[in-house]
Amino acid sequence: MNHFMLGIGFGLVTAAIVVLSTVALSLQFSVTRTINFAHGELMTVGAYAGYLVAQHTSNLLPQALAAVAAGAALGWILNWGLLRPFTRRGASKLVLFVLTVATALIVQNLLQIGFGGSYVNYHYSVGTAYHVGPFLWTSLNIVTMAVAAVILISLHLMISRSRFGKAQRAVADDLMLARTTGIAAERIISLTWVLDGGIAGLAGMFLALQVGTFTPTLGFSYLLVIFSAAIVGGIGRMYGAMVGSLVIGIVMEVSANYINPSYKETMAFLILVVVLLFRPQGIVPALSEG
Amino acid sequence: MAYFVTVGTIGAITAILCLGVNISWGWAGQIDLAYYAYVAIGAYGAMVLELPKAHPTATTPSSYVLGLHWPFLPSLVGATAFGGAAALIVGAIALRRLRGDYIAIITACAALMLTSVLSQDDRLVGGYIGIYGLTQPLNSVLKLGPTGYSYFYLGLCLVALLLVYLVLERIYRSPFGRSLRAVRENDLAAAAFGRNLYSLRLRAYALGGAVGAFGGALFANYLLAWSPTAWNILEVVLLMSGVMVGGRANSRGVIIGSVIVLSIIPEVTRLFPLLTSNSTIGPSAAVIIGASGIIVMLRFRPGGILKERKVVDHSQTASLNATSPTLTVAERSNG
Repeated sequence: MNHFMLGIGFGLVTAAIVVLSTVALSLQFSVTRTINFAHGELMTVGAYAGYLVAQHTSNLLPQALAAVAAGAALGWILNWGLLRPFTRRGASKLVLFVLTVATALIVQNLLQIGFGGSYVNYHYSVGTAYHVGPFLWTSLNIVTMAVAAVILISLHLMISRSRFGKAQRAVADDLMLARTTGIAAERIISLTWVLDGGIAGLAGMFLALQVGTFTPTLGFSYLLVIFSAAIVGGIGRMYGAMVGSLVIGIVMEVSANYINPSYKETMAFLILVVVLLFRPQGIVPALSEG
Repeated sequence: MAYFVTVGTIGAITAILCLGVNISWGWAGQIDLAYYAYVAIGAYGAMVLELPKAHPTATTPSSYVLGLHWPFLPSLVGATAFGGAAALIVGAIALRRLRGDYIAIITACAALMLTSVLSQDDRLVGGYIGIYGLTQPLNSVLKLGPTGYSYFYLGLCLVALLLVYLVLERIYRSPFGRSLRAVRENDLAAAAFGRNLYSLRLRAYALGGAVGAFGGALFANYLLAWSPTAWNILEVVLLMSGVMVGGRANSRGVIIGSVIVLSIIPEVTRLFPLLTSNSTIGPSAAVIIGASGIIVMLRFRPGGILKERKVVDHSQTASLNATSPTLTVAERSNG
């Protein structure tokens, strides 16, 4: 039982990292309707940016800002430089998907040239571990979960209260109608990609800190875990994404107690396959919020 | 000269792999991210069929299943069947009722699951260490020297490429190939004309997996070893890029594109370390250029260098011509 509760505790930390990346993916998908296979690379560049800044300062804040900036920059480039020339000409979804797969490969290999293919060490002084109820968490774990909570609440407020969020919802509902009513749809989409990249970059930094050492394939190896969480929750639904991340994070960490821990990502894929086969709309009932 | 023989052999095998990708991506319009898994299954399959029973010792720690000690050619056939069967299983799940982009996600999941099982369970095919210790196929009969044998294997791969090309051309022109392209162009219309979309797609998918496994088996018999580090599932994009550059669904174009993207570009980028101080830049640069190739082609010349040929059904044209005089007579009498 004790192992089980500890597993749930680690699962919550994993879920916090997964949920950041997944809400970013879901938000981007609901607004742009493009499945982004380079989403993992948004995380990877965030991890490397944080790692670079960590060579100069041990303060987490500048590292986090660098991770956000790097992810946001890649998100912007991905939309503006790559996808937009195609969407303007009405390219099919499959073509856009292939573009993002190619981008993932290109970014991985650019990082490989820049940093080499071997593991880099990226640590944060973890401090002592705290017993919180039945859970055992380091200060980094607690910071990770707190940041995830703050970002989720801000995203919720942004989408439900702000003008930008309203415009995003309009574009997500009906692009043509949004344009007709005078919403600068291109700008909303562009900003969504920037927001997506920024949050994913931050998630990538936390993921890298969590695993301690990483290579240019960090984000890609986590991509399908993110997809699993997004699809389990119902892709494109932000609140579903939160539930999906909790399910995936906890299943991954709890299963690591009982089976070979290197199979924990495989567990996530299994859940994804089963959900796609039997409930492709996700396990969370559709809410009108979209 | 030995250099060109090496490049030629790998080039011929890569061209076979591209022809296999062309079935799902060119003919049927699916993105199959599990393709490299079938290549690996073919490679591993050929090795465990050809090798004798595993005897893990300190010097050869590799342990693996089967070890049937079959001759070369039956092993090739067996490995191809393994690949086709694996593709049939994955395809049966992925193609059932999923949209194009979900198919890609499911196949990627399948490939990653297979990678993690094959690399972490070292009883199956040697885990991270992989399998090695194959002897040069057929050389126990031929008894050729290293140079002579390399020419022989190049010839063998070229013959295999020709064989795959001819078989696929035949299938492409068959009613099955035609139905498949109809599904790609407009699946609803094809379904309305009584085509079973699922069965068509599944058969194409299994065929692609079999061709991939055949190429993988040839590759393993060339390298005489195989390990999980030999493949990265994303690199199927480079094969797709070769297909795209040469001309989607045009087998001759696919071979040309394969030579450009997967033989010439990697060989040219091999020279990059001479220009810079970075010694590892070559392979990465080749991947970057190859992956950019697919983006550029999709943007500016989606048809590729050689466009897909319009297949004319001669039997029907002939019968139309035969009946046309009466038709014109009928039209005249009506007009």
